[in-house]
Amino acid sequence: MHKVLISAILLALSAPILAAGDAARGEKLAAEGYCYTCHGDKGVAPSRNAPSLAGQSPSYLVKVLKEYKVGTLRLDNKSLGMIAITQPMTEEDMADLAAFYAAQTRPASGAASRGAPPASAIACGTCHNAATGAPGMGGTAPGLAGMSALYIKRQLHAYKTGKRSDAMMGGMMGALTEAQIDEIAAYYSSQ
Amino acid sequence: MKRMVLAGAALAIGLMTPMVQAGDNPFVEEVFVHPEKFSNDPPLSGKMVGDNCSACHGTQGRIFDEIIPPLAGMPKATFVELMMRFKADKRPAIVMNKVAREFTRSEIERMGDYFAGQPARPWLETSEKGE
Amino acid sequence: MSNMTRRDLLRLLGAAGVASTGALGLGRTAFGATSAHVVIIGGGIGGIATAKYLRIINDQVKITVIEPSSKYTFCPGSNEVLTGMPLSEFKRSYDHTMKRYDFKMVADKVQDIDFQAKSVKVAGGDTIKYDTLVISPGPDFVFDNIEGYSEKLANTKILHAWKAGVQTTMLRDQIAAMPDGGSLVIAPPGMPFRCPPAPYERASFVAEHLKKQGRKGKIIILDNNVGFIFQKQYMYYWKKHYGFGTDQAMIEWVSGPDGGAVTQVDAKKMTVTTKGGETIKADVINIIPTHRSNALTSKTGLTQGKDWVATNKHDMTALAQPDVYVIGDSADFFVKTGYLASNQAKVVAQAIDARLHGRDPGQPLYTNNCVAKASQEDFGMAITDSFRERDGKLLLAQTVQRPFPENYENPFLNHVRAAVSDNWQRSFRRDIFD
Repeated sequence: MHKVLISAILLALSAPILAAGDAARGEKLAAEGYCYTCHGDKGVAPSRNAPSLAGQSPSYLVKVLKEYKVGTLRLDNKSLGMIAITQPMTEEDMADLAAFYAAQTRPASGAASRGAPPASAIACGTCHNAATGAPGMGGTAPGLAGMSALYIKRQLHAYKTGKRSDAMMGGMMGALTEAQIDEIAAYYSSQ
Repeated sequence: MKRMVLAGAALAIGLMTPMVQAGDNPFVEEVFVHPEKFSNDPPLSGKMVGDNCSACHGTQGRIFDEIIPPLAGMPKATFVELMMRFKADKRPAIVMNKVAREFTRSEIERMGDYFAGQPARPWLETSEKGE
Repeated sequence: MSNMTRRDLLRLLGAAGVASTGALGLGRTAFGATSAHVVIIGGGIGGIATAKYLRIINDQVKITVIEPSSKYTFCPGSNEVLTGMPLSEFKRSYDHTMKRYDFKMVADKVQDIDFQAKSVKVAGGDTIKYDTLVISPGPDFVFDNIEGYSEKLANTKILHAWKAGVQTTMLRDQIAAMPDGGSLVIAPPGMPFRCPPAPYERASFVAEHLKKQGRKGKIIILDNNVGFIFQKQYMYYWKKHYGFGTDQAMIEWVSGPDGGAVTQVDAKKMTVTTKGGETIKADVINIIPTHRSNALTSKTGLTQGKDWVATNKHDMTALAQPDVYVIGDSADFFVKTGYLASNQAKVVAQAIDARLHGRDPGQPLYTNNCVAKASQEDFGMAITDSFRERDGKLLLAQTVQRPFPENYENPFLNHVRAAVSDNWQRSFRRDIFD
């Protein structure tokens, strides 16, 4: 627990300080790029295919967009759509899109309506605010509100196999079994 | 060219589109016949319409690891709502607006039944590639 | 024809008579004498899609696919091999598909068909009897309408690479060996030919490839046609990136009406002569031959002297032989694509199964929603094309090409449309073989 807290604090301190993006410009960009097709009109995803972005941490969103643009985030062919659309994005575009989505109304977290977490999911709550689904740890831990079980499971698998790398998440995933991954995904999912 | 012009004129005055024969000029800019015009023909089954979607969405709509979303197991109401919004141009999309507008609501509902009835699991594994 | 259900069979043969459930959850039925034998000529997209989609709805029929090749190479999307994608991406072995959908394959070429006796003669000498016949052999090419051209030349030096395989990598190597400032001639035949945007996509990919490598070069499209699919989009892109229309253009296009059609090729001098009287010397000459219905269909009287097999669009049966199904490039659709062949296959599967159960075939739908690209990553295109049927004839329901001019300058959509185009190629291959 101690180690986790220290790491978390270090991460929070090292989070990049962003110039606040222009949410109004971000809204225009999101329309131009048809982002709502997968991510929903107000950032709440209509299907299992993509995550919700409403009320997400803007620094996390920028981080992910950057990873897509350079191609380091590539779980499977599904990621190619995001890799493609980020190619023409500038840093300013990314900051503006992130600001727009961050300002949208976060949907309810599935966890809030599900009562006590299973044992496997307790540790997640340290960083990923279980009650509200809001981002945690100064925005370095993304909010989990509005994600489908399929989406959460995909990410957990990716962290476990190393297809998606993150110092925190990689360490957490090592011991988790398939059944536990299913449990966690079911607990946090909104759909 | 002549037949294309006739087709355009026929559409303009609301008549049925002429039958397309082998030999017609394919370089027409855009042709769209409202699906209601085919309402007196025998109905298309949900499977026949849905199976025509497979190149993009996978066999029975069951590809889960690609950019284009799967359709298998999608709740019928969700499917119908999305398709009707595409059809009405209320939700601009990469290709789906023109695809959806080809179908009547009734055909969309039958497709919705078909996909809702498919298991939300990948259509088997990918095949091996040979050299 | 038996209307026996699986349950009946199980009762007759006992559970032991039925092999363990395959991946589809279908038992391998012990084919009795009453199982109809469906023979499919051609193991390409049309033939394999027929086998797969028929098997999905009918676990009783025996299915045999006659195909000389032991492997299949997808042609759709194969233009990318010319600029670096490995050909292995497009290759498929039949083993896995055969097992999954429980069909046999005969590695031979069909020589003749006896419609009265309902049998097919293969080159190796065997006779294969059928109850139902589906013919999907792919097109044949014409080599004698261009002076100096021949099938031998097409296989060795003046390649077409219009049936993906060894010619594709050979053409890739020819392009790679082009000198700086060299030229490539691409000569599309008169429509109809398979995959209408592909010659222009080929030109576009090669131009990008040369430009990326810092090489100078010219791609000259000598066309039989008045226009082409995605013409607006390609010309927009070529003007923007390759100086199309200027003296320094990397891509030139001579239309049919402007005398672009190639009438003569001299393989020694590496020149082509056009209808308009121009003689052009090139380092690489890519003549795409005029297409015709497969020789088997004309030999067996299915074409009735015409270019293509006339079909009843309600169920894709040949007008010349109403209980024989003909699909793919040899059938009389003006649009010829792999996707259309696969959707024709689904109509045939529906019809075969319905007839075996004493029902009328259901209503058909033929969709050709296809893709192309102007470049590797930053400009994709899509066409939405649909046909319905009435009284055995096709009705064009829609045709529309994208992007529209208002989106030509939208980099997000153009990039995504290219990624979607790649996605389409991958998911299409899976739809046929997986």
